[in-house]
Amino acid sequence: MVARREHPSTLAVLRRLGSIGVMVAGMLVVVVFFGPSGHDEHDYRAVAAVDYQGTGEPIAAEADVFFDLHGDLDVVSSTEESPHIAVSSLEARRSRRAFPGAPPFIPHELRPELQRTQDCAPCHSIGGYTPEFVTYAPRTPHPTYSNCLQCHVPRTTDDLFRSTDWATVAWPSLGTVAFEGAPPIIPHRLDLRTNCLTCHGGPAAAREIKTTHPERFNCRQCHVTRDESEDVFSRPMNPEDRP
Amino acid sequence: MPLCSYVVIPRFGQKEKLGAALSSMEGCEVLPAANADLLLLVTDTDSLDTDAELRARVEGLPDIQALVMTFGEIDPDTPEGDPAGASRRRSLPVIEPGVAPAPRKRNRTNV
Amino acid sequence: MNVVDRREFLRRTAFMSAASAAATMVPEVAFGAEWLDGELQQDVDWRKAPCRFCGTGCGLLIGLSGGRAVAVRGDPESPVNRGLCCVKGYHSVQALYGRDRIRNAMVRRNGRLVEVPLQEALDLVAQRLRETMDEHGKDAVSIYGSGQWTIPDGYVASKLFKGAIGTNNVEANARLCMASAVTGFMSSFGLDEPMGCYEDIDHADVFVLWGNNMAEMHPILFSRMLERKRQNPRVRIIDLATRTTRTSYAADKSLLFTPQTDLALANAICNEIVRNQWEDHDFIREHVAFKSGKTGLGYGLEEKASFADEAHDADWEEYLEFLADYEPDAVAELIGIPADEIRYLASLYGDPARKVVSFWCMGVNQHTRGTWMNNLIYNIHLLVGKISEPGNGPFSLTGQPSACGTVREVGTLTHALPHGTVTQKEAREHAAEIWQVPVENIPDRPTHDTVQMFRALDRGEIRFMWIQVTNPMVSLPHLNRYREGALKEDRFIVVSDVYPTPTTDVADVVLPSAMWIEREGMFGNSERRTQHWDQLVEPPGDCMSDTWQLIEVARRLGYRELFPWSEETHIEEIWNEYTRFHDNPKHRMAPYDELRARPGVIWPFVDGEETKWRYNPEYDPAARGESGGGDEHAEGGESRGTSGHEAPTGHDAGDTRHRRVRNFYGKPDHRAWIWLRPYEPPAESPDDEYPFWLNTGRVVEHWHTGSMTRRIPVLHRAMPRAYAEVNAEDAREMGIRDGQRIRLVSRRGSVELEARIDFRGQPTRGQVFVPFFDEGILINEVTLDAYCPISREPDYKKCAVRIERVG
Repeated sequence: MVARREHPSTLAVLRRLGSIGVMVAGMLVVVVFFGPSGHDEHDYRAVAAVDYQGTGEPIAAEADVFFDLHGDLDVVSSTEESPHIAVSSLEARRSRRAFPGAPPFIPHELRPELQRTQDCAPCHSIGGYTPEFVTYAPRTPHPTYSNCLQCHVPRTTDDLFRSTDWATVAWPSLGTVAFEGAPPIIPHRLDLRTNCLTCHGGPAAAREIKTTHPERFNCRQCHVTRDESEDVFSRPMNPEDRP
Repeated sequence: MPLCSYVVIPRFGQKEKLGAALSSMEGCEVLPAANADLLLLVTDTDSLDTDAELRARVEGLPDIQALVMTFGEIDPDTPEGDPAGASRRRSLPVIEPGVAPAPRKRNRTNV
Repeated sequence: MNVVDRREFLRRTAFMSAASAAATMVPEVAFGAEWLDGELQQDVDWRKAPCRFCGTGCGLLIGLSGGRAVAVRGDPESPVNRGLCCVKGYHSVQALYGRDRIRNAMVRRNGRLVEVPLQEALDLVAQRLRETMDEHGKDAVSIYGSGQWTIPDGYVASKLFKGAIGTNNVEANARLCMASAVTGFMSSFGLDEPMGCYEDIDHADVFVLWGNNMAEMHPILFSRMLERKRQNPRVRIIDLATRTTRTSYAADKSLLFTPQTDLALANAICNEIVRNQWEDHDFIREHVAFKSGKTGLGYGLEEKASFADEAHDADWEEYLEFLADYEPDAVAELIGIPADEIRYLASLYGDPARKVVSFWCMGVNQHTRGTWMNNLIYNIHLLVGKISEPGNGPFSLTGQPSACGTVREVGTLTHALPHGTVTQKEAREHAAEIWQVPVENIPDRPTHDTVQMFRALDRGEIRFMWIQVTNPMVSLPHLNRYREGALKEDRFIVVSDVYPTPTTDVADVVLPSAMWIEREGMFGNSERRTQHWDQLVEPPGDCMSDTWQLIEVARRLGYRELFPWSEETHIEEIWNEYTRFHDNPKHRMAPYDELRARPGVIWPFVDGEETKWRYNPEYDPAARGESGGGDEHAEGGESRGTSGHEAPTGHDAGDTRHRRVRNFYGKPDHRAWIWLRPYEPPAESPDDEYPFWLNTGRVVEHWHTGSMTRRIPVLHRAMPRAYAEVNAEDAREMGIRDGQRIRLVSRRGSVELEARIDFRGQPTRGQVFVPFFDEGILINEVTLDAYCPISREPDYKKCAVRIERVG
């Protein structure tokens, strides 16, 4: 399986060393740094009320979740996969991002005038099927940001100018739960991503993260982010015994 | 003293039962995955013979779909330390041909 | 990991192996076992740093894991960007990991750069410095730094060259981007740097962009403007430009003007304001003085061009007479904007119910009359009194992360000291005292600005140049001349950089620099915010910070007692020494601990408070403390108009506007100066032989000469090559198709590149635009090194070329 993919010569060396563990440890390093593997991104800090709008007032970070309350009932019916249309996968999503949390590049060709007009909204605000690319356009979770190409850039070549030694952490695990049957935690930050259904519902959602229950619009009633600090709070009976 | 680890893929729905069966075997330590149908197994025995015996029993369990060895070490301090021999006896891990691992369960039904 | 015995170690290793194998089958697998998951999971530690790139100065959180930078988030605590970044910021950390990173010192032997131990290279640098000084004098050595120098980098460079060695041959690439802004500030206000801050965006009603493609070049600020507009639909964004860009489409109105005629446009707006009596007459009477300077300045093209302006007193009547030439109807044809639109612009500025912020950057600064253009925009705001209050004010944007913090505030320019100029005796004495050098060491006359310095290198008056963190062999105008100069015999060039560039191609010694978060430092952004970062990752190989390289060389030259600091604490010690220069309420800097704890601190930092709006006694302690400010009027801040949108009725009794109280303490008369600056034509305009304007600039993906951003995969793949934007009708007439290779030829040189039609930007007829990030397409071979004689900043936006089809 995995071991078999290693070079035979390595195996010969290992026979001399007498430990498959060395070989596997080597693989471990590769997997940990470069491969997709079951690693949790540790930063699940709940998004503080971020004052994007500069009003000085805290903004409920979960307000966006209810944006689609009335408009998204169609999402329920469209969560089944359509057999003839390419459906997004988690791997495809991830391949568009340089590291977990990075803004994705634009994977489709961009008509030149769109570089000027930045008129991405007709497809990406409400989503829907685009015959041009034979797929459903993903919806943006942050439609109020209209300088789209500030963060999302097209891909016009696969070449590199110079090689790179870039490496990053692995993507977070899916389905991390406190116990069997519990609602999975949210393994990513909520900056610019407070409208859950744009990625987790609808026909453009990656199949691995598509929700089974889009009709429950109050997502964060059950699914919470995770702070990376201590696991639980505890303290001694006598306060003076506190470390 | 051989110490080996494996990834154990249970037959569909048998993860808990298999985990219990393995845990009850002497020399086995089991760690089930929290979000997938597989288990990690570490066997720690006191001789090559005991190790072989244990592995035969494990492989004989009906609820195992596939067993993948991922680590094997013989402590060189023991008189039976025989790196070359041990390696030869350790087969490269394989998945049972023709059978794919159990599909990952993604969408949970309401509990 | 806890210390465990061998058996336990093996057991864990066994589990780890199994877990990793499981992870390749089920990528998201987790085991709920603390120690195991903890091993598998990579803890990402998030630490703050300002972005490496533009002058916006966004706050980032760098994700660190395993000793590497692995991710970026916007820092939600930063008042600049509030958690948002642009594509360059998000991917900035990838710039550390290009495979061809310079990790070792190199020395050129027999024409090739070969690796040498770092200490040997530093010895050589010091030795050649000493030899050059001994043989040719102190003014034969020079240092050319950068607006990407950290504050300690620049401070040590200035102290070494000006204080210890004793030459004013200290310049920085900010001369090529911000010099006109500096001279504009100095002539209008007597003190450098904006009087407002980014918070103005949250209060303004009108944004006028003077020749800057803000959607691509300061995208975070532009997004803040768009958000302001989204919440307040009456907000207007006006794009004044010479070509159509993304900014034009996002703006409410895009007005295209002929290159150079922004000078006339600003005056025409003032003409319309006074014609309607929209000016704030009280403000003018109390806080403004009028001056005129020399005209017919030339363009700095003479070999040893030198110029000094003069200030002649003028008055309101003379100003009106001066403005009479700029009636909108009279100049509309010259400018290319209809007179009605000019009047509309004037009405926006003049409307007392609307707060106006003007933004500008290279379009105004890289201009043969850049100083004048800065003055002229200030004139508009001073006429209507819209300055130094929230939402009202002219805002000069910076291009580099620390052009303000280092080049302008530390004063790494030929005429400058950290406080004051070299020509001022008190300033020299002050510097001598803090630097602990004899005051005679500090020369009392400036020597060369950047362009002149490279001309002096060409002529042989300068024989040694140390270039740090900049790429002049791509960014200098009229490039071939300066490259040939640097390559001449008996010129010794030292280059400190992170990647091979056309500048390292001319180097005799290359020193490997630690980059950004590989060492501790501070930057200062456009809004006077100084931001600190700790060292977050180890630099590779022999890489050493620019600061420490300078210190090492200084010690070899015998100046150890002037640079005595230890490696562990030198940044803090340098900060403490440097801030002594600014210890007054007009410029006080925050203490080191404050900087470390906060996402930047705006200076002046007085009694624990940032001064967000200068010259306004309501917000600025320095404005209160000085005489002449007068705070007898309780409401010093905003002015409120008469009912709604009516034009002001001048200085009648019954005028309900509140008086604006200001104290422009930069000038001896405590006033801001309105300068009578006319329109003068550009250095080189299109003619029969060279019928096209050439404009140069940037794109959002790439920063400056691309040495960092092109090594970031997503950015290179988005924009791999430079190109020439050609107008669609021009292309049709010349038979040029989109993607066709063309040649741009000027009197200086030529480049070959592909034409793009209706691509990122759309030039007007008779104009082409080329971004300068591509070292394979050196557009500066074609540009002209004409400059503003007051600021010495070259004009990269206007010269004449012809287009030839290739093949």
